[in-house]
Amino acid sequence: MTTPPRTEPLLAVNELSISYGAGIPLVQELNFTVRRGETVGLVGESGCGKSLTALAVMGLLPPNLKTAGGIDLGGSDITKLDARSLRKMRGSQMAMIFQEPLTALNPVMTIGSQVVEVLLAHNKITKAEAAKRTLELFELVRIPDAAARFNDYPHRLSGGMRQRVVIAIAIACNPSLLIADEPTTALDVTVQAQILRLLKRLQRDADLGLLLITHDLGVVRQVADRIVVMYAGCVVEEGPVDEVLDNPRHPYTAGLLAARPHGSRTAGAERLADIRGTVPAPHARPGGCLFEPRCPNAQADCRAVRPPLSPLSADRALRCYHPVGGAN
Amino acid sequence: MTLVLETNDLTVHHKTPRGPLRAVDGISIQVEAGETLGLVGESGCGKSTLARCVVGISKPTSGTIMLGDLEIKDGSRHRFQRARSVQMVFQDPSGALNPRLTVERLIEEPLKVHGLGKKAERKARVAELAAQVGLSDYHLARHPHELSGGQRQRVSIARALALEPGLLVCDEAVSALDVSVQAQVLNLFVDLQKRLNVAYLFISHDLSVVRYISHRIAVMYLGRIVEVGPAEEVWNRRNHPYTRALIDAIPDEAVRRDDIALLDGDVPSPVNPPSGCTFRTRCPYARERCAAEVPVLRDRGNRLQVACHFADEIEAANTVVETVRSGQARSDVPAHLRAAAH
Amino acid sequence: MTFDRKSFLYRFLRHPSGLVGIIIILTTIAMAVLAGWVYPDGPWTIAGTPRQWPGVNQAYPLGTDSLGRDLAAGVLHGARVSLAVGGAAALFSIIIGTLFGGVSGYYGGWVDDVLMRITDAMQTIPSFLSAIAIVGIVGASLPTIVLAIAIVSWPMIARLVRAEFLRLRTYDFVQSCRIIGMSDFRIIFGQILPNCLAPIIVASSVLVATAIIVEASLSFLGLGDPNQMSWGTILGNGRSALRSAWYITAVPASALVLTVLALNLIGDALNDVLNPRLKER
Repeated sequence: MTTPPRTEPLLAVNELSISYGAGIPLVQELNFTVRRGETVGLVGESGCGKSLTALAVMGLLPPNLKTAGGIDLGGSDITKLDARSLRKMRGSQMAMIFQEPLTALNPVMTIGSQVVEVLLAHNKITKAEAAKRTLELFELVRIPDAAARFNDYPHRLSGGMRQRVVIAIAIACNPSLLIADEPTTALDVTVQAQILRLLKRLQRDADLGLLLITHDLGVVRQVADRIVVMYAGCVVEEGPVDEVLDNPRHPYTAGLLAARPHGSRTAGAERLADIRGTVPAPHARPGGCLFEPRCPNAQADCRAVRPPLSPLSADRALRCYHPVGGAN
Repeated sequence: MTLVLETNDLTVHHKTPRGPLRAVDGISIQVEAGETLGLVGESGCGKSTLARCVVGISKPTSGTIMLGDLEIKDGSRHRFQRARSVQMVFQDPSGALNPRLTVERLIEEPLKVHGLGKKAERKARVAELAAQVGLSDYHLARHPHELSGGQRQRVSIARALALEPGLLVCDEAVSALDVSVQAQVLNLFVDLQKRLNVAYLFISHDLSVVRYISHRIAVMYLGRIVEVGPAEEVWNRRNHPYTRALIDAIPDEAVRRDDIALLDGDVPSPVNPPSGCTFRTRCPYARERCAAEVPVLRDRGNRLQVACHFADEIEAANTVVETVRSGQARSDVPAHLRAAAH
Repeated sequence: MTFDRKSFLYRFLRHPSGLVGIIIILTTIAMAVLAGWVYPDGPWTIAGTPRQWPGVNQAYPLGTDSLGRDLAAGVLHGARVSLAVGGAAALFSIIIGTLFGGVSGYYGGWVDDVLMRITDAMQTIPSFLSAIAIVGIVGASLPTIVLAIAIVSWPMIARLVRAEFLRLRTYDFVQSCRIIGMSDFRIIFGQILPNCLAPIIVASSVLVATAIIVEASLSFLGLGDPNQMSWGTILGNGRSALRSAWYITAVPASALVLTVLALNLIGDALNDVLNPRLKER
């Protein structure tokens, strides 16, 4: 794997916290960066705050959620921008791909006109130019027979084709950051493989920063360069994908890897290693280490003080007192 | 060897304005007592329709279903008797439980419907069932919305087991759960099978889950079974090109694989399926014969059956590829080779 | 979200429309209950001089009508008739409507087609005219009036219940009940119906209000039960003296307006409290 160039980060999330109402923390002290040409996989189970983080980066959080900290994209802090500048940034500098392609598209507009509309909103071009560019985009995302598909309505397309249209809309205005929130979860496995490959190719060709949000470690391994593992609103481990997945240090990362079904039990595969208990609700998170109630390595100091996210090496960090494979 | 389920040439055709939609197109499967038959396929392949026929909430267009000794000819008439032989666990654990009832009432309901036991006996049985799936007295007094997804799925399982059916149809029963909880529920399924000798018809789109839990696997494509056999035979031999494509498409957290040929396109419409072999439009091995002749399931040795005209050829090719790849995976490919693969 | 009685009642009473509505309705109910005790002679007895304006004579706080009957007695006893007719008619239409809508929505197919065509046919008939026709043919008595009103208002409930059943029958918990061998009857009434009570309750408060108005209108036209003094009867009596003694019309009319308004307020409050999703928007 080629290491991404050490340039200035494209997106820098600094000490981001998101809380609900009178201070129920949903996301806490979140730090990560995405560089140009780099894919960062944000991984965690439902309720870990990964989708909220994506919405916060897009400036799309509902108004009843409060944020603290900063989200720096290309030099401007998204948390401080007004609605108009945010709208301008969305599409031109950052774009998002959602899980459910059917609801992300307008059902009463043809797919071609939806892309044209986005192009016209952000560029000073004529309709004919926009239509021509739309066809190019459709070919770029490998929609077969693009000209014939131009006037189709979303419901006429398969799930995979719809997701391609959504991707075409997302990259229409050449954003530098692409956020994909579970882009393949609603798709069949053979289609998922196609879409992942497409995303990766687009990202390489356009030197995009890609923030991939998923629950599937396999997807992260196929697409991402770096991985950020979240648990209950906090980052617990981060680093290069291959290093983290081959040699997980946080008990949660290790537990997730071991919980995936491996082999066949008829052929002697062992009982799955489950993580006991469930993710704590946001208002019932423990004061010490968040994972402590479910952790096989938990000791008294884990209960007392929440461990900080401390660097393991130049590009790896860990939030644990008693990591897998012994302390450093 | 006793069969808890046998379907014979089962078909389900839905009427649509553009012609009949062949959701299930001639399926014959058998499930033995205490066995898990995994059913995999992509959306629209008819696996859920098949499940609904087996439990009696959909009516087959033709074909027969045998549940042990009970032969079912008409879809809805045997609801009461059928309940004792087959039960179902659904995908969405929140939609499958009546939100207004407590967990205790939910588990007790099947006992009540079938008039089993007096009130005190039923209460004891509910407690026993709850303990069996790992729920405590605390949970019995709760409503479904107060439980987590995994706990709700346990309630569904306890409810399904209340009538001691010989067969449990699990329709994507772990797909909506997080990985760590999914492992808990899969372990529970395994434990329950050991203890109660219950058979599962385990339906999932996730081939690694199906491989883990199943004794035998049936692969469905467009309403037909294209390959069926012992789990490891299906997984390792990959005699049908579709099975192979499914396995290749699984994103693997252990190895980064960018070099594999992917299937193009989507599943064709079941209203107007391709002639001959329905997979031929996406199949890298497709030839003239595939358009003309429908392949039937043929024995391939070791209880494996495959519906492909060129299974011999594909198996031979796979063996070569597999030896190369397994060597690679084990010794962890050198960095320069992996970079080249990208 | 929890749905226990306590929190429901709490939220309902916290709702301004709910509180006002329930106070008015409780007053009306109190009037109906106390009528026989306060005015044991009934509303028909001639109590004193005709056409005494309200407040003139302390014995008749709301005045007397053209025949010298106590208006206050009329309003109190009228509350009995109005509430009884409203409640009974609403109850009947809910029973008929739920049966039709539930069976139709649960089974679908040809059963649905047949039942819904009947419902459609009922809905095309102008409800008030058909109520007049039924009363005209069968004869005016309280039970026939109740029946007439119920017959014209059940299709609304049927449509509502059918829509809820169509939505709920696709839920896995309904399928699960079929799989455990439960009979359709128990599924319809034991499983699905309790889950669509909220919209039925909301609709029924409006239904009671409509029924009260229809009854008053029939009585106003002289088609009411001749042995029962309802608000409509007083309205009808006051019509001839509208110019000289408008209070005879105004008194029962106010009672009618307040009651109907209160029922509508309760309906609004119930809608907000029982469908919390709407409130959050």
